Amino acid sequence: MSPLHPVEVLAPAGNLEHVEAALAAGADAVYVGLKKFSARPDAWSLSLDEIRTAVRMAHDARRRLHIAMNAELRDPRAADLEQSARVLEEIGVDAFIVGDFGLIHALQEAGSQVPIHASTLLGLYNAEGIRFLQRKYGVSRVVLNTNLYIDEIADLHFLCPDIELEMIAYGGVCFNDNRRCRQPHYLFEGEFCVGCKQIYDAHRGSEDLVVLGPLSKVASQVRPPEIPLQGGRLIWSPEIDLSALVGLFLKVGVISFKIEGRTRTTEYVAQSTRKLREALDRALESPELADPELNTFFYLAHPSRLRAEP
Amino acid sequence: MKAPSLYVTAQRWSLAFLDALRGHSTGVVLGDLFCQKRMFEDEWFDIFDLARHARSAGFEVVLQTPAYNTPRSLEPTLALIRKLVRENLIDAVLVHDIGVVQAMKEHPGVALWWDRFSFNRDFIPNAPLITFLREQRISRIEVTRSTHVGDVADGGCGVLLYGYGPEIASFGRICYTEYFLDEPCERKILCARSRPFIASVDKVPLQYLADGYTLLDRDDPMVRLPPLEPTLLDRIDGMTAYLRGPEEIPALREALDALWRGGEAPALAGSGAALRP
Repeated sequence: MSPLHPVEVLAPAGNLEHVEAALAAGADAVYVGLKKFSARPDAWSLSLDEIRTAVRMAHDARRRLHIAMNAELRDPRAADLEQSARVLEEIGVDAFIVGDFGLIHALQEAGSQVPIHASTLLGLYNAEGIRFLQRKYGVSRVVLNTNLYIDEIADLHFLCPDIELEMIAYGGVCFNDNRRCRQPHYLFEGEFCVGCKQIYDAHRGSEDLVVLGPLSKVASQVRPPEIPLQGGRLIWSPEIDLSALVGLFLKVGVISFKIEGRTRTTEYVAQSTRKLREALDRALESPELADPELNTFFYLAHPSRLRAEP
Repeated sequence: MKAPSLYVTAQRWSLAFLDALRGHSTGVVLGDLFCQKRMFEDEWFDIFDLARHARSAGFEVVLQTPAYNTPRSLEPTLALIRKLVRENLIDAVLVHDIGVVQAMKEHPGVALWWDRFSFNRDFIPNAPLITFLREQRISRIEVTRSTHVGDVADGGCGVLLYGYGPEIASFGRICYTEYFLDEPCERKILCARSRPFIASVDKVPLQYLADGYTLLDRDDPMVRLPPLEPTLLDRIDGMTAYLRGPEEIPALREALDALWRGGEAPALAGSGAALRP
């Protein structure tokens, strides 16, 4: 395996305390939102001055800082885009994570040279779309949709070998689609609330329960088992060893393992970063990953192949 | 005031349904976002018979591409489009992702319309996005809110307003039927019997109708027509509608006519109206 970019743990940060905690816990890169341009509340996004500090913290530690620009904007140009992009470039941020074709277009018009990472919100599912954005807009990385199957991720890697693939590896659970969703995301006074992380009851009416069990549909096979907690929230147990899963995704071309949770606590940022760091290190050290004979393990073990066996 | 074009898609198509639509619709939209089992009796194979029948009845034919065009599914979709183009059975394609748009460059004569599900979450049609889409040969953009009609029209793109049918809150890739039954559905419960169940959660006030792949707001009416200022009517190129069956045609007609209350209601552009790509 020869990744285009060092394999990384990409940690979330909603403030400078998070940045510090993520770096201390072993994150290779940290992403933050820019106020007015982030899909999270401004309270969990950073100002240009704060980003300047965060970049210094990351670069002093030889790590990277990415900027999430994934808000739905009526007019990105009116929101000081050009000036903000120029300042961020001067500051030395390492990438923009962009969730709007219009914003990508506007950044190009503004002459930005900062590498662009295509957010899941762009809905890139095939090589044709990825190649187009790479060719026309210089997109260097795609954040994979969480409902892609692992062999489809491998296909994308084979078809677009010079594109970096980033996956949401920890913390984000969209049980339908993280893009085409019109569920309310701000239910409580601006608090970011993801309905996908709740456990639903399935019934035909208030009096007529269907015996189908609780609904905790996760539309992807790329997840570790989720654990229902008291209060009806889903989370992945800290006891689960993720290294085998991380190893699988390394084999199919993923180079960035992203943690979601910019609005979570500092403790969450530190713990999840540490956990994924350990898993990635274990996976990278595993003899299976180093053994070229095992590179086709996934395909040989794929259920569709097994079913074809006599 | 110009008469708007109307494009109808259906929960389940049949030749009789097409016949019932004559005189009421400009075009028909064939193809399910997720699962062709539920829209057609014989999946994709039916689309050619339906498209030929629609053509002979004077309808424009629009293909709805699947919502998820992965490396697995894109090539079969493109093969279908090639055959429809070869037989001159298609006028426009509703697209959901920029990859399909790129692949459609081999068919410059087919109009490209940007589907309402192509957008992020609570989409806002900003000016650079519309410019971007126009550069990619998108000639019409489907919106769900009348407040966005002016934004798209001001950007120089044609406007399709999703005017009649359920509003989908969220949708996924895995069929709820298959998820619960853990076996191929073959239209066993949800889609065939049209008996969606309700998914609810106590912690937050969310309740949805779960129907196949989609979640619909439980309390929303199953049919809707957004309020529309009269000045916006002239800015709409067409309206789209989703019908569960031919029995809903009169209600659709009544709802559309109500748009012009207070003035003379023009007839909808009937079948055979010229396509304006």
